Amino acid sequence: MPFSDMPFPDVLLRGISNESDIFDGQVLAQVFQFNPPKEPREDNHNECSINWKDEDCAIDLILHERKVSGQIKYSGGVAILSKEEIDKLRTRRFASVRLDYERRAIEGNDFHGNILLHKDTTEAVRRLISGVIAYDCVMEVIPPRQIAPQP
Amino acid sequence: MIVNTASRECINKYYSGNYRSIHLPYIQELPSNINIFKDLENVNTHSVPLKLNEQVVSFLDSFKEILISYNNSRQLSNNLPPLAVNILEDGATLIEWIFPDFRIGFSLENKVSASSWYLITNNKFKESLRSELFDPSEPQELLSSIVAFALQNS
Repeated sequence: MPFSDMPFPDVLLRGISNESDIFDGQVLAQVFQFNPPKEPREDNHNECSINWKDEDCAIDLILHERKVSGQIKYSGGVAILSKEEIDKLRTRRFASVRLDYERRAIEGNDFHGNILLHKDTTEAVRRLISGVIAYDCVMEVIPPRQIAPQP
Repeated sequence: MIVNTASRECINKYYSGNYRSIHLPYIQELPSNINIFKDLENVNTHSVPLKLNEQVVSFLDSFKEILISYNNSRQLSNNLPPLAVNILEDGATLIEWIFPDFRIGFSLENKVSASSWYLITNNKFKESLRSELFDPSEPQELLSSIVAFALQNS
């Protein structure tokens, strides 16, 4: 079965760009901001890029991702998020009808997807939703592994 | 680009030189256990519009005044966590104050009237949420109540 047709797993993954994005074991809300997509979407959603943890190697895919410069992209590690908590957040009045998620495979990454937020959402609600995702939905942070530098 | 003298002075004040000595002289003024500004030295504000940057500095100044006021009235023994200040991709400044049982966020937006704050708690406080707009140029009342909550519950 292609990944695109698979049911959503219980866990989502989000790369953390910097160690400073983690405070006392808690991930900062800035890690979960929603940004306009590179290409306009018909459904008018902004995106927060994630990987679905269909397999354990989805974590390694993020941890090994590199910038154009060759440096490790997510030097803060990977945040493990609970889909159940995201669904719980979606039942909140301020988030319902605005917050969603999807699979959207990209080249070289079948696990890729997005948490989605309608672009007409006010700044205040956007910040609150990012804060709740950071506080309630993150179950664990996997630190970056020692990976040999690219030749 | 033509920059008049006044603008240049303003830009120099807010964008160049020693960020710490210009923006955060109060880093040395507070006792270390309540010095919530100690992690702000390396915040890069170069991408922040001048007006918003002024609002952020003014907001942090108000925060400092309230902490000093509390500390003067009763020497505080709490250990308050430092603020985390980050510039978001859309240019807003997000200030987070993270405690074990709750987290507080202040979002200072480019459109100042859209600035907001939130409180998110865990089950110790019945997993309550609160979010409201606020005026960053007059944050004293809000900050005073938030500092009181933080001191009482940290």
